[in-house]
Formats: sequence, C-alpha cells, structure tokens
Amino acid sequence: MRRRPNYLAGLGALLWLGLVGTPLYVMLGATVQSRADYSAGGPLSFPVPSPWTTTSRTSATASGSTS
Amino acid sequence: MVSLTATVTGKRQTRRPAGRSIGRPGLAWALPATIFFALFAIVPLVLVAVLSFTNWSGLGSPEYAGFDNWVKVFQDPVMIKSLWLSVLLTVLGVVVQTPLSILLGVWAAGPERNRAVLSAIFFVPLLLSATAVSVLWRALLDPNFGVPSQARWLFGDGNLFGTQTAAIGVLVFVSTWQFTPFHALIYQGAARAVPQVLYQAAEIDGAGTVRQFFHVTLPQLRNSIITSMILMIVGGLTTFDTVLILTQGGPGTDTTISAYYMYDKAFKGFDFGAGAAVALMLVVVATVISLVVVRVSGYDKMTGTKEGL
Repeated sequence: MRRRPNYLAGLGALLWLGLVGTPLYVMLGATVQSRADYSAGGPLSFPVPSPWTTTSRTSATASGSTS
Repeated sequence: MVSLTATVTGKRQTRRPAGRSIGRPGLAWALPATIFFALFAIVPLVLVAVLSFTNWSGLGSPEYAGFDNWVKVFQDPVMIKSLWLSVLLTVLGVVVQTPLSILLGVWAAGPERNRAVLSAIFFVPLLLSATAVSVLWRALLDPNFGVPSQARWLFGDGNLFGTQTAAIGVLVFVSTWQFTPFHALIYQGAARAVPQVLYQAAEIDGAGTVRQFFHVTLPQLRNSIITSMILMIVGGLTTFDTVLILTQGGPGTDTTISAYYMYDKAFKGFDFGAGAAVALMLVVVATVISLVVVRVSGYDKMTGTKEGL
C-alpha cells in the first residue's frame, strides 16, 4: 500500500530538527573555539567559529580541565 | 507429558487445587525484587523519616527533636510555595511534552528511511546529561550574549530569568527539549506495534489520516500514554539539576521547587532534619499524584495480551 506524503508532519519534523540541531551546533562550535574567542563572540558566533582551534579539546582530554 | 505418564503407569493424578495454574510463580520468585526494593527504597526512606525527627548539621550525631522540623518546615511559606511550584512545573511539563512526544513518536514510527535518520538526530538530547543541557541553554538564553540579546522584538528586555513566568517557561522549555525524545521513543515503539489491519479497516471505512490518528493510533497508545505520563510526573517532581543551574530557585524563591528547597535546607543551610522532612513531603505528594493518575486512567485494571511470567 503506497503512503501519501504528509507535508504537515514533514514541516513539523524540520522545525523540531532546527530546535534540536541549533543548540547542538552551538555546543560543538564552542568546543573548537578558544576561551577568548568564545567570550568575545558569545554562543551565537554563526555560521562557523573562526579561527578553529583544538586547544579546548586537547586540554580537556589531557587533564580534564580547559584552563 | 503428565497425562501421557499417567496413561502409561495407570496411576491417577491428583488434581491441582482450584485457581492454581501450571507455571504460576510462587513467592520465592518475588524474593530478589523484594530484597532489592527493600534495600534500595524502603530502608533509605525509613532512614530519611527517622532523620526528619532529628537535628543534624552533618557533623556529630543527630539529636532527637520530635516534630520540631515538621512544624518549622510547615511554618515556612516557601515550603508550601515550593510544593505548588513542583506540581505546576510537572503539570506544565506533562501538558507540553505529551502531545509533542506522541506526534514525534508516531511520525518516527513510519517506515521511511529519512524518518529513521532524523529520529537518530532527534534523540541526541537524550544522550546529554541534564547538567550539560542546562549549561548549554544557560549560555544560549543569556540576556547579554544569547538569543534574547539578538531578538529584543521577541524577548523584550531579554532577561528570561528575571520574572517568575519567564523563568518557569524556560524550565518547562528546557525539560521539554531534553525529555521529549525519550517519551517519543516510547510512543515510537508502541505505534509500531499497532496492527496494520486496523488502519486498513479504517481506510476501507473512509477514514483519512487525521481520523485514523484519533480513532486508531491514539486509543492503541493508551497504555503507553499513561506509562509516559507517570514517568513525566515522577521526573517533573524530582527535577533538581536543571533548576540549580538555570535559575538557582530565583528570581527570589519564584522557581524554588521542592527538590531545590530540600537541597537548600540540607546542603546550604546544613539543616538535614528539615531537608529530610521536605524530602518526605515530596515522596507523599509524588505517591498521591501517581496513585490518582493510575486510578483515574484505569491503568490498574488494564490487562495486556501477554501477562508475562
């Protein structure tokens, strides 16, 4: 049995995707910024943080601290 | 096998007492669960009850104080307010999360591949700890750097933690963001278990998608809805970390829910006796609400198609 596409449900799913995806993107974005860049730009530095750095990640992995 | 043996040996089998069926578990089967429950639920609860009748600052030995803690707690206006706020947050959480998670779960139950991919993304918040989620939203909703500072036309002065209504709205929103996927997962499984023949019959009767949802899907999800609601109620009443990080009970005591009030009394005021009294009150309220839901919904009279052991 062929199912008809439910456009309303699709739209709702896309809205929810935005609601879920944006904070996750912000969180991931924050992990590739330095503390100074994050403080300057805030959590909303769209579209992608620049310049990229892995300082926070290596620091957290090495010692469990980002200082 | 029993009748075959009886035929072969020619012996008469004694009849089992009426009402006892083969394979029905005895009391011994319930023993492990009972021991586990007693050890990790009843014993701590009794200890908390005992603690609520003592004065203890965390150092030295607790001293018997009679009903002093209970009187003190009930004379504190914040206590009643905190219970009311806990119930309010729980009700709002159920009202907002239930329809969203049903829609999301039923949608995710569809066979299309894109739904499976999106479902996997939707469930990511569930993998994050409440602390991480709270820190994330605290940053995103910051009045100076977050979303409200960029959208003054929508958020006014941007301080979403400055008024009680806005702060409660934030708490409900964040818990919805985090826990809707969990409840959607319950509904996804339940929706996939709905027999296809019911939809085919409804379609033959001329029912469209909306009618099928209300007259086939929703009634079939009834058990799952009640299970999910009870989980939401218990989760809502015991919410703590989100409040601690996002509002710290403020502004003032406007979002001081019972769990936070208990923490405030016990771990900030070092009054563990009063904290234990608040904890017991919370247990009583949660039990009463859960019992009411179970009774009103008829959950206690429901029977499944499979009874298990």
